[in-house]
Amino acid sequence: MGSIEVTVNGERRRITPTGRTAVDVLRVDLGLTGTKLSCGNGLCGACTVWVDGVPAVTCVMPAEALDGRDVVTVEGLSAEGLHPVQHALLAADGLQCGFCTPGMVMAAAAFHDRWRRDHGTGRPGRQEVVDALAGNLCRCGSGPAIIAAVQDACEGRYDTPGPYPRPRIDGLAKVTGSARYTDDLTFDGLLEGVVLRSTEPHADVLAVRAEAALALPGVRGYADLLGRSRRVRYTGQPIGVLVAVDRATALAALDVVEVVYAPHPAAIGLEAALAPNAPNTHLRRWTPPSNNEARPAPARYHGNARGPQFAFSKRRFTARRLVKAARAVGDPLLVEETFRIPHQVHAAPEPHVAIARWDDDALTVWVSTQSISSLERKLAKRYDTEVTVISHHVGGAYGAKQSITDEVVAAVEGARVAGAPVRVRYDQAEDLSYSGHRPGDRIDLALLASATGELRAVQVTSYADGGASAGQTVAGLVRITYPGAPMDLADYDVVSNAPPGKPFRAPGFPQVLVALEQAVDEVALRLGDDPVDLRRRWSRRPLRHLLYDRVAAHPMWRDRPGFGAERGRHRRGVGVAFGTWYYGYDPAVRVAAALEGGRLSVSTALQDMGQGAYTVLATAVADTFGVAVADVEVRAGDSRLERGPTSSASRTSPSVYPAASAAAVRLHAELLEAAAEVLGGPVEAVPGGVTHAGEMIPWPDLFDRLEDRRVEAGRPKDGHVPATPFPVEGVQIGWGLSDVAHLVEVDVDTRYGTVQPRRVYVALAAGRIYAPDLARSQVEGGVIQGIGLALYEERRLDLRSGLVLSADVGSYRYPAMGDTPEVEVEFIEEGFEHAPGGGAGIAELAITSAPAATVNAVANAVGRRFPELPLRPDRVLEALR
Amino acid sequence: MTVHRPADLASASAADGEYRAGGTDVEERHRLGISTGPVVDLSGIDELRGLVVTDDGGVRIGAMTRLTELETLGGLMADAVRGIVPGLRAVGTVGGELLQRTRCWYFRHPNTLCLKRGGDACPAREGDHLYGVVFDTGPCVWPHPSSLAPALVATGAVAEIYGGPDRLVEDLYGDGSDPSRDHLLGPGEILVAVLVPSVDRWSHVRVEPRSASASPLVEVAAAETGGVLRVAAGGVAPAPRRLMAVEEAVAAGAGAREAAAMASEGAAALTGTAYKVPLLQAAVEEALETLA
Ligand SMILES: Cc1cc2nc3c(=O)[nH]c(=O)nc-3n(C[C@H](O)[C@H](O)[C@H](O)COP(=O)(O)OP(=O)(O)OC[C@H]3O[C@@H](n4cnc5c(N)ncnc54)[C@H](O)[C@@H]3O)c2cc1C
Ligand code: SF4
Ligand code: FES
Ligand code: FES
Repeated sequence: MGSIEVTVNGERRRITPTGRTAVDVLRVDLGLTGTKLSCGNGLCGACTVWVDGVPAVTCVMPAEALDGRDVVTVEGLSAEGLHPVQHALLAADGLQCGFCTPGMVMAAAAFHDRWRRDHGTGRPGRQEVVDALAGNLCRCGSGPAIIAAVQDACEGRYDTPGPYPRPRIDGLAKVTGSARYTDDLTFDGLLEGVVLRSTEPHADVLAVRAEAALALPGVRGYADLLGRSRRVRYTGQPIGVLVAVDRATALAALDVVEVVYAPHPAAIGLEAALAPNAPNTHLRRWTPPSNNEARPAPARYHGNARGPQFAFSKRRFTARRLVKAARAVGDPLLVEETFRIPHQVHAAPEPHVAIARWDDDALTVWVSTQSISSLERKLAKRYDTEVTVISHHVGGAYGAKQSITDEVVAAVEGARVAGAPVRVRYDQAEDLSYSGHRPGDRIDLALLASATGELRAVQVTSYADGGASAGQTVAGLVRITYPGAPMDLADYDVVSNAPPGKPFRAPGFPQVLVALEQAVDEVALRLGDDPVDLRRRWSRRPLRHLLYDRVAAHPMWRDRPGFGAERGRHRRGVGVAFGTWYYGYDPAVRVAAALEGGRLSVSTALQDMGQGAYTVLATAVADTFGVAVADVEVRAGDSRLERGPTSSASRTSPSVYPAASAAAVRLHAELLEAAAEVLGGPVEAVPGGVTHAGEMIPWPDLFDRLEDRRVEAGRPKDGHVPATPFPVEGVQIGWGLSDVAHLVEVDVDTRYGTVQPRRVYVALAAGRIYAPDLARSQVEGGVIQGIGLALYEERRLDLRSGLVLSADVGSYRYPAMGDTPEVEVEFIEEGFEHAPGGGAGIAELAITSAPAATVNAVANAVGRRFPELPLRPDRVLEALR
Repeated sequence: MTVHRPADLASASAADGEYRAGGTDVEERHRLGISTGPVVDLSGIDELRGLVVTDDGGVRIGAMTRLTELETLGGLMADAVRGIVPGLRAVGTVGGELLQRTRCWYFRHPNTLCLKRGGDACPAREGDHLYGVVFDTGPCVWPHPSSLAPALVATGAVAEIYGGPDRLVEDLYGDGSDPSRDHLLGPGEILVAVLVPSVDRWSHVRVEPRSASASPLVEVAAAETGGVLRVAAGGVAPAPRRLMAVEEAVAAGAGAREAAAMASEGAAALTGTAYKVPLLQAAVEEALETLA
């Protein structure tokens, strides 16, 4: 059909819909990439624009429906200065990765305008805001700040042009939609690659017949992705990549590719793989890909169970003996239970996407990644060529976007056979099925206490269900949590014919703490002890004790109901749990600080997935000079810059802040000297500038008169010998552990078994916090992802075909706006004085014990413990029976 | 995708392809590759528009009315669709909501076959049917997805059809025994409008596992008109289900709890859906208690 006319951001435009959706027309034809495409099925809200003044999703809206209508996108909204809601989101830091932000802005701005019309400057209730934003999902978990920001804006606090605080250095680009993510890039001649995936859960691929597909018009090439091993180990495993002029052509061609399999018997999922006589899911001596930060340790297979790793055990046989003896006599202080933890999917709002281009022998990859530098090194090694990796903004990652991921290989190989740049972008089903997950787990736990409340023995066996991957340490983490008693800790990876996992924020900890912290509460109950007091006796670490004190004094904890004591339909429950994380850093990072063209800048090959890395980098320089963060230009997101860290294992800030500080300190010293020369006499440094001849001269006034210069620095050494002798995969484990307390209040509707998280108090002891507003956002995000794991999230797998059923965000249920509690965050900035800069990371710490605390809260409300997550209505009702 | 844009009902009825109203369901299925072929876009047909209050206090809702517009009506209609997220409500229509295809995760998966997609078995029955039916009245075990349908059934609303006889909304769906269909309209039949009588008292209950869920676990609508009470449920059967046994119990003077217990009459839950039975009863009880 022909073209239609639509008004977009005040301009009349003629567009040709050709059977596409509105979002495609806006993003591709009109280049308005502020509107994002995430879920593609109408539930996440990332593609929200105003149509005739009403916020509407455009990913499931036919482009023809725009005929004669008036569309405003985030670009249009921002054209004449920021909307109050944008100011408010910036000031409250109601965003992290920013991928949901434009859609959020459009929905919130419409609500704001309506509210103001009807209510003036009255403050809307939380529920009103939640209802308006019900269809806007924020996987980063910025909900608490978003809701508060919208309420503030409705009160009229941001009506003037400002200025208002903007703690996040790339915040403006994100709230206006001008931040370009990998998914927003296009260039001339860009081809699309789609991945050919196995339809068999376990087979050898004997042949791939792609000739017919290659003969179709528009198809540009097929590249194999299996390599020498022709074995596929899960349904959906990439076999090859088919490249065509556009996605539709590539998908159509994919249909005529014929794959010849020699199937092997398959075992899909944990139970099938552990069953007696289960078929072998692995090859002899095969090391599965890792679902953790480092490669899986060497291990033997017992059937399909790889392991055990029991290196973290301590007086293993004593622990075994004590548990056995207690069991034999029916010791009431022996708590035994088998816990089942579901698979948690990362579900980043920006899908896995990579664009590769070969020029002669050099390779450039634009990719949504959390590991620019290491990806560059790995690709350079693999392809023996010069590699550039570029990733300026990343729409969420949470662990799944590190190392050489499948879409990167597919794009690189596809570009090679096609001789042209190729993009590989996962659709939602691929993203939620194959791009990684936190492995599920079965945890057998026995915990024995003495009548005086001493921890006598712990026995934990974990069967991590990472599909065709391995490396999850779960049981071993008990040692770090309660180190005193004899403990028998065994970790198995159960290898099955299911999609592989990836590291997910704090690998292992949420799983083990759900088991352990419930058991501790149970012991306290049986002893008639206060759960916090009991834990005091089990840990000697001073930071933990600070947290115990904080929780014990908190009104939410003091006013908690007795276990199962609440009556009536709605029951309040309060739960606590404590978590720990390592202090890790990359000792090899390099950061440059420079004065260029009268402006301070700082650079390193760093990526910001919403954790605020760019802001932390700028803060280090701003702190040194005493200038505003906004006065420092950040160069990052490009591997040609100085070597940056991978953003995982909470190492980013502890790596780059000290290095950036060191560079800044040297630059500062050099500039002081230069200033003295220019001013012709001695100068003295003061915050924000220098004094000369009794007069204060701010740095910005001096910069124009000083010559450009650039200094580079690494990370200064720690004041304490590190815990590990050398870095593994770029992580050095430093001395000292960081700690967290999660205190959660829920409301359980006993009529339906539904759980509403109400309030959370979270206290973190991780040393100095470099960018407090952003750190708070990240902590809230960890809390909400943790609540998700406890209450709602679970990957559902069809145990016969191996297909992932929870393949859209409607059925993979992570917390939405209405599931957002109020969160109070407290930082205890102690304990890492030996670290340069004084701070450890917080990304993982923030999630560790959040699920356990949530489960303990529900248990407190209903008077029953929960061996199985998530706490769906059916499970809660069952517990209430 | 080939798109026809007929300007009137007659040419729409004669055109070849699946109808498309707001397109939220059709577009998603096309994006997933589970539906193909031409579509017949209904947005240019004026006869499908309009929201008018009738002389007897009821309302005639054109099929192309956007779900957002139901908010202006308030009452049961607005409540019934409130659980659908706002950005979708702004695009989806009443006709499309009533006639949308199932949200079964096998059906919506790009790589499966099922009774609704040319397969000869239902993979959900033996597989993962956590959100499946409790009234196992046909080979397909996924509940009908419409939130509005139970509300319309409860009011005794009538569907105006072009190319076929008008009928009660209740009769748009049949008993769920034909797994290939999500409603009984045939080719060339177009839903023109629904006629909703005025009601004296009503209530609506939606039970969700998480806020803003794509599909609720259970939904119950109750409406009373001139002393006649109708109760209908979604989320529990292959077609929106009228709960006659509950209605009869109430008519016979039973209290809310006692009547609600009758909600499960005829239920045959699957292994994975037994939990929905008490949820249904609880939701019915609440609906009866909150009738206002
Ligand atoms: C994430 C998500 C969550 C959702 N949650 C809910 C929910 O909780 N409750 C709920 O009810 N729905 C829910 N929906 C579905 C949503 O309400 C429907 O997609 C929408 O209402 C369909 O309306 P439409 O106009 O866009 O339909 P379309 O996509 O245009 O059409 C849907 C179907 O109806 C047929 N059709 C449409 N109009 C007519 C007509 N006049 N005559 C004959 N046939 C017609 C079409 O041929 C097509 O088969 C959800 C959808 C998504 C994606
Ligand atoms: S429940 Fe129905 S829609 Fe789902 S797989 Fe079975 S037949 Fe298909
Ligand atoms: S991308 Fe449109 S709603 Fe998610
Ligand atoms: S900021 Fe909302 S999804 Fe990342």
